[in-house]
Amino acid sequence: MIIKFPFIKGEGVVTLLKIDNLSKIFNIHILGDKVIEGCDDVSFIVERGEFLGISGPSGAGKSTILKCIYRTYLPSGGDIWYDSVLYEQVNLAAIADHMVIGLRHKEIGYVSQFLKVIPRVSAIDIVAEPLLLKNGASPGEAKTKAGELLERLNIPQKLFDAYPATFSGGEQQRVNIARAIIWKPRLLLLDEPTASLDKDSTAIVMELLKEMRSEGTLMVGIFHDNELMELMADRIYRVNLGAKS
Amino acid sequence: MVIVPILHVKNLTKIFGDGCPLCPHSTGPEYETNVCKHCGSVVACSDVSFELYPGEILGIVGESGSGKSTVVNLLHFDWEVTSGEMFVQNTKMNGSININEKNLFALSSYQKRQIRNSFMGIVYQNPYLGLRMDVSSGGNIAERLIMANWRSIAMMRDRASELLEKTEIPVKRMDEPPRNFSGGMQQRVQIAKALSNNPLILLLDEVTTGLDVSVQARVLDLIRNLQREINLSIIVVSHDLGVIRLLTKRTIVMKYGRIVEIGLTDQILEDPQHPYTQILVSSQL
Repeated sequence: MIIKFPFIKGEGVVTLLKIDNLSKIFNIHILGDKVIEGCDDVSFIVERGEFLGISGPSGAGKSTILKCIYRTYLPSGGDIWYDSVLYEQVNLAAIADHMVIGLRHKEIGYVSQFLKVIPRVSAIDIVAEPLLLKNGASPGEAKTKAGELLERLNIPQKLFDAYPATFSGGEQQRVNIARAIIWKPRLLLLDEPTASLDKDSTAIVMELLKEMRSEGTLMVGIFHDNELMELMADRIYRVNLGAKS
Repeated sequence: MVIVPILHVKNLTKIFGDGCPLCPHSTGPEYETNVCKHCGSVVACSDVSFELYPGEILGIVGESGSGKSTVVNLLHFDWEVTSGEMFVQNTKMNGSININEKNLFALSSYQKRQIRNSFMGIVYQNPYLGLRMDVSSGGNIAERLIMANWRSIAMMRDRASELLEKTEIPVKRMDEPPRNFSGGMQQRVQIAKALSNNPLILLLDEVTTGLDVSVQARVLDLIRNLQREINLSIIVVSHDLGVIRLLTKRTIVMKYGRIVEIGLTDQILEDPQHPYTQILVSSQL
């Protein structure tokens, strides 16, 4: 595979993610080949240490963009260039599935809006698992760090050993965030991570995200609240409904 | 960094019946049948190609008759292939035969047995296929160890109790035959037996189908934990998308003996491409 990589590396500025003309079309065969447009003509770059916010009205395709980067959606057109540690420069829109798995394992994290509960695993183990599997931490070390993080996120200690399926929405979401950030991914995709959180929890999450950014994690995120977005993001990419119709 | 697949399957085909040159062109999803209208042969699977990577759990999903079990039975040399090739990256076979870059389906049946005994394990949906019901559970495991050239009885006993412990069978029941056990326990003895020779590749054919949900949950948790502990490469065959979602990262979707889609499991579930996959995903309870 010969890749002509389009990144320009200048003085001190390093582009790690470059999206070119990304589009996603859903073809729903079971509804008589109905075509639904997810996003169209999306282009942006993210530089090292940057937090890029994506804003736009509901239904404009913000989540679609994140899911295309993570490859939960197969992009229909365009390129997603990422300067990875594992495979160097790759087009996430085109590389083989097992390479995506490798990148998800070592570099790219994703925080969804809701915790997809892993059945019969306690909160602390859910959070400790990435450290064990991805960072090679010892079980003791992983548990200690998971406990510290949950504590910072105000999860009561008595819940550590319980199954999150029984938790409140906000508690579940904090477990979800803890699991996504504990292993310090290199690129973190955030899909409204604070939508179900109260003010205090949101402030803690914001603080954690800022810490991660200062440690060099690249972030692309959607926030339900524009104020939050302005507060967090270095730059904002706007998607419009109008561009789609 | 290039990751080399541990298993590479190319154009795997199994036809029951005489077969004819038209078989591949008159069966499959577009014809909605796997019976060839020209010769009446059943095309159980055709042109199935995929790779299995080290340490991954790969799912094969499809409805009954889609050919998913046929594929694992062929990989385990239970049946003769009609055509196709399989290559294994040689990491463990020592001495006797060099299988690097050799099509394993073309080897002698003696060599196939050797390969199966030294680096494959299989767990069938029906425990009667995988276990001798009248032989003690320890004996079932020992049988497999003997095939893999173990000789010391004491060592085999130790290994058997270690495995039964791992699969949550009370070791004190090691001398009882699986006939005495419940369905979930029989499945766990089968898993213990399949793991006994430290296989590189484990094939799981509908292992939780027919078990009630709480027992199913324990078997699934066991598989998840084993995979993490010993970093096995596993192929999981199931008609149940819940099982596939829980265990696998990549999934093959089959229909009428053909692969209709291969993808990341979350992509298959959230952005299914093939019309059949879309029906399958939208049919989930």
